[in-house]
Formats: sequence, C-alpha cells, structure tokens
Amino acid sequence: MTDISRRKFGKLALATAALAAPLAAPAGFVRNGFAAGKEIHVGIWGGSQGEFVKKEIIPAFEKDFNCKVTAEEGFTLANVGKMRATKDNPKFSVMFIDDVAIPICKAEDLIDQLPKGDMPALANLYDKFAFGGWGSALAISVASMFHNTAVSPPASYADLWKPEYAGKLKLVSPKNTPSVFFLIVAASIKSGKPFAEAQYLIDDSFDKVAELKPNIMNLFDNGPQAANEVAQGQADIGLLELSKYIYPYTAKGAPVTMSFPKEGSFAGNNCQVLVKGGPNRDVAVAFMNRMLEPKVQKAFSEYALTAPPVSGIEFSADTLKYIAYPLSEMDKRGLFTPDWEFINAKRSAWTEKMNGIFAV
Amino acid sequence: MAAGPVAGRFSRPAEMFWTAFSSTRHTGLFLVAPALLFLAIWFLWPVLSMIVSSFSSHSVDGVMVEGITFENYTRLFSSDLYFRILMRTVRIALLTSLCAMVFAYPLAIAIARGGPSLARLVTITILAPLLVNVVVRSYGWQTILNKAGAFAWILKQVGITSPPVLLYTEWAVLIACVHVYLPFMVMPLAAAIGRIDRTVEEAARVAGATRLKVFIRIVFPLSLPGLAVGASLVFSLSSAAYVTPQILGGNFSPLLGTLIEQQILTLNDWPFGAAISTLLIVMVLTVNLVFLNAVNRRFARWTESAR
Amino acid sequence: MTETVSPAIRIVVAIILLMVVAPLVVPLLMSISDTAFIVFPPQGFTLKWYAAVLANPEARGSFLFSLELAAIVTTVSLVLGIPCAAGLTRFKVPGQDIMLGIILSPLIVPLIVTGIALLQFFSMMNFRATLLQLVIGHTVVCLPYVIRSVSASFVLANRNLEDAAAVLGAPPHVVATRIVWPQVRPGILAGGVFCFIVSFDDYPISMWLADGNHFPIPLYLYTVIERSFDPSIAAIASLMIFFALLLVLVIERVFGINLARLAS
Repeated sequence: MTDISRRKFGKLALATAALAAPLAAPAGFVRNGFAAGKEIHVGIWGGSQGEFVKKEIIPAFEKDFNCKVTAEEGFTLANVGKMRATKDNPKFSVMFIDDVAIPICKAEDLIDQLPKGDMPALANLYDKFAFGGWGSALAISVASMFHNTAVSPPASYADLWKPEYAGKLKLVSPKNTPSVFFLIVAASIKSGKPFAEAQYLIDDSFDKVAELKPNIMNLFDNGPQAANEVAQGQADIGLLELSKYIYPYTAKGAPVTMSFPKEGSFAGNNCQVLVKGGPNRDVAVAFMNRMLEPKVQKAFSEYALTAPPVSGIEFSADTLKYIAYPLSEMDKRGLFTPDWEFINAKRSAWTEKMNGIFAV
Repeated sequence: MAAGPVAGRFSRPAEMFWTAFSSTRHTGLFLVAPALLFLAIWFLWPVLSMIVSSFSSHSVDGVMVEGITFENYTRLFSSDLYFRILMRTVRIALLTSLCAMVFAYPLAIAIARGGPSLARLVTITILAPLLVNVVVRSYGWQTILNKAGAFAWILKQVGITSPPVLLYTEWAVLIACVHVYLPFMVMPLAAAIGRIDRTVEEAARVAGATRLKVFIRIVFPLSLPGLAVGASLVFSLSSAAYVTPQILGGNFSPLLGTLIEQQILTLNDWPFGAAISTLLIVMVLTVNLVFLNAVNRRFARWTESAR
Repeated sequence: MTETVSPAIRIVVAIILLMVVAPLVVPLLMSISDTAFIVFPPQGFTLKWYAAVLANPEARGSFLFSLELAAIVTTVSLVLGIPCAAGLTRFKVPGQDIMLGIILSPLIVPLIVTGIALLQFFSMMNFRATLLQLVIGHTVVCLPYVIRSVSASFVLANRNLEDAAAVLGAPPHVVATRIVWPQVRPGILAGGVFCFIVSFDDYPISMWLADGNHFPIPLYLYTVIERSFDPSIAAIASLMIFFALLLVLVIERVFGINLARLAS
C-alpha cells in the first residue's frame, strides 16, 4: 500500500468506528436480540468492494447483532450458479449480483421481494434502483475503457481496431458482465447505431469482434488484476471494466485511469438480492438494511469509489471527481443500461461464440 | 524398557483377540473392507453417476431431464471449437511429456550415475519444488515471463530490446507444465537407469563406443520402462492441468479443465461438463494403456536384440 | 571406477537446475522491493510486505485451516490404509486384482473430474457439511498413495524373521509389534508425509468443495494473485517457499525419510 492509501485507510477505519459505536451501544441487546447466535452466508464480489465488506461492514454488523456473517467471494454468474445449485435447500441468505441477473433470479424463483416494512433504509433508495422490489442496488459504477496514464486513449472505440494497438489491449472475459458491454460496443461500431439499437444487432457483429483479435493480448477474468497489469505497462488499454475496479487504484496513485469514448458509457449496477427460503431471513434482511444505511453507504462508496443508490449523501470534492452523484448527475452522463432480459436469453450462445473466436 | 510391562498387561486379551482374528478365513477381507468401501462409496459411485449424468440432457433452468441422450457428445464433436480445445490439450500434454523427457535424461543420469553428492543435490533440487504449491510456482513463472518481468529484463541486458511476450501464450503454459511435472519423469527414469548394469556400459566404452553411442544403444533402450511410466504420468497430469493454464494462458489457451470449469460454474450446464469430464477420463486411460503397452512390447524386442 | 558423468552433462544439469529454481527465486527477489507495484529488478529493500501478510487474518486462517485439514486427512488415510495394505499383502483376499484396481483407480482419474463428481454427488444427496466433504475428497486422493507405500514396505519386510520369531514362541501380537512394525514403519511414515503434502497442496478438489468458512491456502493464494496489486503477493509466495524448505528439513531430519523415497 502507498502512503496515500494508508492515510486514507486510517481515516476510513476511524469513520467506521465512529459510525459503529452509536449504533451498537444503546440499542444492541434489545433491538437486535433476534439475531443472537445465528449465522448467515452472504455471496459478495471480489476486489476492493469485497475487501471493504469483509473488513469493515461485516465485523461491525456481527458485533451489533451478535451473529455471524460468512462471506464468500464470487462473480455474478457464479453467484447465480451457487443459488441454483442449492435451490431446494438454500445455503446463502443474501447474494450480491449485478442487475443483469435479477430478471434471471426472478424468473427461476430464486429470490424474494424485499420486505419494505422491515427495511427502513429503503426509504432513501432511488426508484430507479429498486427493481420493482426484487432487490436493491448497492453501488453504481460506470463501465468504460481503462488505460495506462502514459498512453493517450482514443476518443472513439472505433480506433481500437487500428493495427497500432496490436497486442496492446486486454479484453474482459465472457464470464464477466462487462463482456456484454463490449459486444454492444462492437455492434455499435459495425452498424454505426447507438447502443440502444446496437444491442439487438450483436448476433450479426461477431465478425467485427473477430477482427479485433490481433489487438488483444489476453482475456482477463479479474478486474483488479487487469488494472494492475495495465498500470505496469504490460498492456496499454483494458476493454471495459467497472470503475469500481479501476478508480480505487487510481486514487492510490497507480498509473491507471478510465476514459470515456464518445460512443458513451455503461451503467454498472451492483445489487443485492434476498435468497428465497434462505436461512435466518430476519438476519439477512437486517444485513441488507445495514448495507443501505447512509453511513455505511458513504464509507462504502468512498472506499470503492462508486456512487450510492440512495439519496442525501454528502461527498467531498475529491470523491466526486470519480463518481456520478447524485441522481441528476447520473442522468446527465446518460449511462446506458442494456435490455437484460433480451441479452440473458442469448448469453450462453454468445459465450460459445466468444470462445470460438478467442479460445482456439 | 517401558514397552515390557505395558505389553505384559495387555498381552492376554490382545493375544486372544489377535489369535481369534488372524485365524479366520476372512481376515484379509475384514482388513481391506473399510478402505474399499470408502473408495467405492466416495469415489466409484460419484464418478460413475457423473458419467451417467453426461447422458442426460439439459434444460434452461438447470433441471435435468430424464432419459438417455448422446446430445452432449455430439455437441462435443460437431463443434470445431471443442475439438480444437481437445486437440490443444493433447498437444500440450504430448509436448510437455516430450520436453520433460529431454530435460529428464541428463538429470536422471546425474542421479543414477553421478557421485553421491551430485545425486543428492539433483534429487533435492528436483523434488523440493513439489512441496511448493502449484499456484505459487505458476505465479513465479508469471513474474518471469511477463512483459516487464525477469526474462524480458535479462534479454534487455544482452541487448535484445523487443523481447517476445510469452505470458498468456501456449508457450507459457507449456513451460510451466514442464516445470511442474518434470519430477514425475526424472524419478522413474533415474530408477530405471540405476537398474542398468554398469559393467555393460563400461564394456562398451572399453570396446571403443562413444558416450553418445553408449546412450543410444544401451542406456536409452534399457531405460524405456522408466520412460513409459514417467511419460504416462506426465501426460495424465498435464492433460488435466487447471491452475497453470488458468494463470498463464490468459484465456487464450484453455485446456479441457478450464472448459469443464466454465461449463459448470459459469454456464451451469452440468451434463455437458460431465461429458467433457468423461472424455478426459477416457483420454487419459487410453493413452496410459496404449503407451505402456507399446513401450512394453518394444522393450521386449529391444532387450532381445541386446542379448 | 571411471567418472561416468561427462562434463557436458554436468553443465546441462546445472542449467536445468537453474531453470527449475528460477520461478522460486524471482518472487523472493520481488518480495523485498520497496515499490507500490511489482517491478523487476526490485528497487530498495523492505520487509513491510512480509509484515502485511503475517498480520493478515485471512492468510493466517487459510494456512491454519489447510494444516488442520491435512492432519485430519492423513490420520483418516492411515487408519484406513494400513490395515488395507496388511490385508492385501499378508492375507488371501478374494478378487485381489479387482480390489487393487478399485483402490488405485483414483490415481488415474483426473483430480478436477473427481472434484466435480464429488460436488455433484454431495449436492444430489443434500450433504452439506463442508469440512467433511473436503476430508472425504482429499482422502479419496490420498488413500491410494498410502496403501501403495505401506504395501510396498509389507512386501519388502523379511518374512523369515517373522517365522523365526513365531517358531521361537513369540505370540502373533508380539511378532506384529516387535518384528513387523519396525520394518514397515518407514513405509508408513513416507505414505503419511506424502499424504499430508498432497492434501496441503490440493487445488483441483478443493476448488469445487470449499466455501468461505473452509478456504484452504491454495485457493487463498489464487485469489490473492488475482486481486493483489503490490509485492505482498510475492511475499506470501516467498513465505510458502520457506515453508516448503522447512518441510524438506523436517522430512529429512526428523522423520529420517529420504526425499527420493517419497516420489518413488
């Protein structure tokens, strides 16, 4: 860790301690007695968000509620896979997934609607991030291109197909959500249409994807590792990752940052869902509520440099450099959210096509 | 000795028990049964039921449909994609065995024919890395082979300014596989060479044969059984490798293992994952049988002609 | 006796050994680099990455869990394996060849496949205890090694000594403890040590069965490689290498097992 990050971390630790103390002390035993001795399993993400959840949020919650929370890191599709595998006898109570998977979980009857009455923190949630009550966003990232600060990124995605980038790009692997964003970009470049129309043209755009192959160094599974390698100069540009994986390193002083080509950027909505029939539902609901409380949201957002999905949080100018907040600012940036229901039905076939291009 | 009184105190019941136990016809079976049952329940049953499940079809929401289908296997062979990944797996496993063989002979000769201190040095240096986790060893290669890594740095020192980038290529996977599985080739080879009668080699040398000739005509043919064991071990292990291609292949060179993981964890297609797994078992089994058989027959011929 | 290893071979051997050692030495060099990211050659000198790793409760937890798991697996494998080896080599067992085939079969099936088969089987049976799942999975892989190693020493043990002792009037249990045990002990030790190492280093079985509470060190190392940004990853790799060296010392000095024996 650099000095900057250590100082920042210290500040954070103080902040969390300050917020945990008043919550725990007066109400602890009376209000939260129901949770005593219970355990829930929570599926979370990796990277700095996961780190913060494990190191700060969970220990404070466990202390306040005298319960145990076990976190397991995974990515969206793997987390959905875990829910499916244990559908008859759920192991997890809360899952963190991207918005892409909420329709899938709903259709497969894996999740429950959030109990509004038991979650006071839902009051501040922007409607846009409530998904009809089937979950809530936790953090809003922007998905775009990231690059080493020594290179100047192209103003348009179309330039990436030029031979000067041969072997200099890293592309997100088809198992991750931003891979879909890349396919939309490719379709948009090929057809010249905006994202909203291009997303329906992906099936015809794989020739464009294949043309990019000579420029791709590898497909990365993992955002932080890709950010690291771009910072080291092993590759110039990374193709589409959520800002939550990049900006925490930018803020630590690593020579990697994001750029926003003129075609537009994507909204990456990290969400939480309540597993249907999961153990200790009351604790699970309390945990989800905790995730949305203003103080947790503020610290969480500042650590991972994402925008909170709830209103009324004050950020310093330093933080606001990295995030689009409040809602009016998000709308101004015009972040694109794909038609997930259409895309989900095609995802498996697209993965196979991506394999066919890159894995042979 | 402390054992005396203890043995004395327990000797009567122990003796009675042992005499009664060791004299029945089924003693052997009793002794073997626990381990056998354990493996039957927790190994044979799961593996067989996985093979059976590879003949079931898959529906979108992950529920298996009853009935037998060959759909998963036709899919494996009808698509160019899976066939090519299969071929890459075979290719990497064969190349790994070949490279391991080339590296292993000098090492095995040093172990079997060198002085005690040389033999010990080589043995320890070859075997100690086995105790270091594969993940760590693959990471070590990553730090060497990446664009800003040790290998590029050394090339730069000798004046090569645009070094080839090996990380995230098949080469990186091959290099690390050879490193990881080399000991499994060296040890059987060293044992086989150690069994060769030295006087034969010495006689040949006295008769004027060059070292190379001695190797080609005597050491190599007589070490074939060791080579067969080593090669089949290295082939089996590298064809099933998962960690190394995952860390060093950068999704550009997936092997069957990666494909299995993708089908099951990401796409949730269990029957298809089971089909790939079955294919992997069949492949490893066949190669082992064919290879050991061929070399054994060959070996018989070689030794005959040597006599 | 003339020198049988030519100088040319010595040079080749030296080069190969250097290449074998390189991926273990390079992380060591990088782990002391006083930079915020991994660079080669390393710059400056610091031990702060080691301090960071040692202070990390997750790394410690995974390490201790792996030790615990390997100890349980070794115990279970020995308890099942020693009688089995004795039965196979000292008694008549019906269908001996088939049994031997079953017992050694886990060595032929790729580990990654054994892992999935178990995961599928456990979820089919609604069997949820993760620790038990891991113990079973590892034991399936380790047991054949133990049986092979212990059987070999039973076969090598000198039966004339046993017969002589019996003729001289020693009761069977005394023959077992005084004559057979000292002869098979090295085989049992070697089998046990090998079993411990296989379990401690296993990735392809654990990757399917582990969960957040039971997270063996190889899986932890993998996640660290994926997410870590600074030389602490090199430090943790170096610590694992030091641990392996310590293991070599313990195996050779304390147990008195020649390392070469483990691989045979």
